[in-house]
Amino acid sequence: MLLEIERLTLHFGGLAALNGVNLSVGERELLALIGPNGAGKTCVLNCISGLYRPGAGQIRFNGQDVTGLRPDQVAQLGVGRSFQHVELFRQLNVLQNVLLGRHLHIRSSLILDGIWWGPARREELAHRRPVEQILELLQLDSLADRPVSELPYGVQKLVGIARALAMEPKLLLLDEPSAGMNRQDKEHLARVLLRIKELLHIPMLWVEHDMELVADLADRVQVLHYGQEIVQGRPHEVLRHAEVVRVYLGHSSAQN
Amino acid sequence: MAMDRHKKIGQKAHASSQAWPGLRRQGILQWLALALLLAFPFIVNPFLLDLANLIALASIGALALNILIGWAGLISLGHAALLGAGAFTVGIMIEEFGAPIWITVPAAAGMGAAIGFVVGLPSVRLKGLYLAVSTLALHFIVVFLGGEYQTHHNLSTGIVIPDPALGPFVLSDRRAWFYVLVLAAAAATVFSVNLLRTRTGRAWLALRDRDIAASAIGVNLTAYKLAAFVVSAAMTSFAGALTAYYQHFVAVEAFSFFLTIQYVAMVLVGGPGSIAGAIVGAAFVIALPQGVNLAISSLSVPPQLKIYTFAVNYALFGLLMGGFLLFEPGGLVRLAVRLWGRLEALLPTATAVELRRPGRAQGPLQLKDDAMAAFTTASSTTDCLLDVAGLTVSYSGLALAVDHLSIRVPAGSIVALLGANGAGKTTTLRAISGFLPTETARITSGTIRFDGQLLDGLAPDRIARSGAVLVPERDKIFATLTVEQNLSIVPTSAPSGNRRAALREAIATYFPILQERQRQLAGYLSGGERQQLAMASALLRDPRLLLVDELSLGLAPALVQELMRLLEVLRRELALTILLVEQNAAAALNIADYAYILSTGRLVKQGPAKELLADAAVQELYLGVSASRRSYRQTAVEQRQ
Repeated sequence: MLLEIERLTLHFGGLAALNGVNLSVGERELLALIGPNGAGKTCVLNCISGLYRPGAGQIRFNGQDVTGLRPDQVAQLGVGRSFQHVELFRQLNVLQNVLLGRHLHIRSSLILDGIWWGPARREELAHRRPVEQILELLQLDSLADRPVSELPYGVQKLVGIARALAMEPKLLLLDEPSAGMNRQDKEHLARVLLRIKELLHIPMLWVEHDMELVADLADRVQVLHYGQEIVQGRPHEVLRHAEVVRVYLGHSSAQN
Repeated sequence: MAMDRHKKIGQKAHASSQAWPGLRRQGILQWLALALLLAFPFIVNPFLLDLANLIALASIGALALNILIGWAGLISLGHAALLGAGAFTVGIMIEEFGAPIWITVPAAAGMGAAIGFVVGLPSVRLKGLYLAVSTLALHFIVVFLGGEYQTHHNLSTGIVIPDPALGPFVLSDRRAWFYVLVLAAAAATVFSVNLLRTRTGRAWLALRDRDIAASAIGVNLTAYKLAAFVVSAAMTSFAGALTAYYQHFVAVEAFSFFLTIQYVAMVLVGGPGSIAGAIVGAAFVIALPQGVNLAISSLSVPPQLKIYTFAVNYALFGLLMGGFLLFEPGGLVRLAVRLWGRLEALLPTATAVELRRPGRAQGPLQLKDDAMAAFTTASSTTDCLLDVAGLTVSYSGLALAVDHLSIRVPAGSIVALLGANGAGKTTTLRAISGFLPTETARITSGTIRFDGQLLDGLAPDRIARSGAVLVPERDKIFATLTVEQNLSIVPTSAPSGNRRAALREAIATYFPILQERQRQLAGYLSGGERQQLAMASALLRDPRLLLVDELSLGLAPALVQELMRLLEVLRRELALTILLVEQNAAAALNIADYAYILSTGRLVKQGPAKELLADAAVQELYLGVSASRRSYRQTAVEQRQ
């Protein structure tokens, strides 16, 4: 398993956000993490990427214990992520945002950057190539020089994924990529997810509220409720599970 | 082909990241400018030459401060101290060892870097005002140490610095100084431009904008914040060292706190984050007092009033800084760009404004002037609690966000405003609730009437007090307060204590989860609980019209259904009228009486909710129902072939 989480707990004051969560993501796997609001889905992602420090439990990535590392250290090890509320650098254009994803791969120093000398210049140009390929893969290449703040929300979400892909991650964490998207945006997103999985072979841990997307694309689904896992398994089994329908889907959705 | 495009994208990125694209433009003008620059010391009088030299010196310091404030978003009030540290390093090294310039200036920069590192350490934990105050300590330490050195060495009037010599060449002439200083300022500029367009500069901008996202892509926040302090401080002390040589003199009085304020002003007035802005700001702040003096001496001011010149200077300085902060945070550079845009728009051929209008919808949906419009035309204005007529909103005077929109919300109804992202729904809601100015947008035409009263132009608090209350999409709760505190800070609009108690009781009934969580910090609530807290806060204001922005965003399907049903109940129980802006059209149409559909700022369809629910085109475009009933996986595979 590429990512293994054991008995993860997280408290905010007296409130238990995560209560002994176990979770694992295998090579090339697309794991959807679903559950009601407040179930702790985003907390799991934030613990993995080092934004929260779990109270107990262990997170192993690629065989290495990453529990409690700083966000940039986790990123260095190969975990990329997108955010629920986009979190793009609004003053920069699409290309610069995605180029920032190359940060860890560019090896030049501040002084060399300042005088635009040798390696700084060569690298700066060389790293535009993979960025351009990613933009092409996500069909964002025509928007490269547009400021991100001018783009529709759905496109911004894709730029956030592109930025994470530019890191060449070994694991991609996606936090509700489809929130705020319309049907066309979602179809595009589905295409992007399948390309990431089939062409780049990057495994993904995917927090999602759109059950149609989850049912169509996920390899496996895990359901969280009040910081605890209640069910996991193949999408069609999990989404029919009585407990899941009761706490999460509601009755009218179950008819679909 | 791919290479071609690759190059093009690269070039575009260069152009956009360069604050001074003119540097690249070849042509006669450039050579002329260069010739003028070279001839400058010989064609101006000594006064102007001295002014130019001081501006060149100041622009190095301003560029340095711009790195810190403009790019890394770190505020420092230790700038005068760093200039002083550079100058005193030179003075002391000359006084003690008679060190030559090629040793003293690098030593001063090194001293600056070391101080920058130490001063930067608190920035790892502190932000904003706290950081600024912690850097202030540096100021007093340097001033104290400098003063002590002067007293102990009987240099109470200051340390005298001889003309610097590099081998046989002695730098004494102000003209020679001009070339040296312009070269130094140019080097600082090029250094800045290069930093901004490479990895380091991007990382700074990233941590300034979104430090969490920056760390998630691998930017080491501590290292980059410290680096910003070190680089900025080294540059500043370098400028301080040159100033010492140029002025022939180092005295502690020269590094007052006012000097720090002047440098902060250079960055703010020029335009934070802009390289050209730092230079223009430096020129402006240095030249301003001279301009005032000139103006006062050219006017026939009585001599006894001339002693107030300095007061005029200070006052003008304060006014300008305040003015820029309030009205043009982009500084002189943005102001120039804007004025240029205005000028272009005035020219008869200019069509730029028209061209930037978002494309009109040409989809299958077109507004039909048919019977469905009864909702909008038959009823008279008085029946409508909210009446929006011909509303047009534009952002920064350019892009149209909402284009001649008319909607009506009769009392007691639930009306939905639907459409994709960027359709203008939220903008419309902001226009109604008075929040447009926070988005640099404004209403260019149209009226908004609430209960017969004109709302446009009123401040948000006035609008809320009149009974139209917004449940915002974001920033809807106060994260550092408890749930209980969040509810108790809501200003009372309810006329009597009874009504307020009734509202409190309704909230306890309809939002039981808030009761359970009342002692918890609101920041720890889940997305769904936050939404309920926001709704409860809005209800406490005793609204007649509830404006709900994206209720469903990020919520679980079951919860969306539940909250939508709750809205219906609240409408009935509290006699509310509700205008609902929704991305999730299906959920909204289930409870709405009537709906309007927007696309790129224009109304494309309206009608009773039931009819829209049954409409095939609406289903395909807005309800997320695939016309061919294909799954996402199928569409994805088909697209690829």
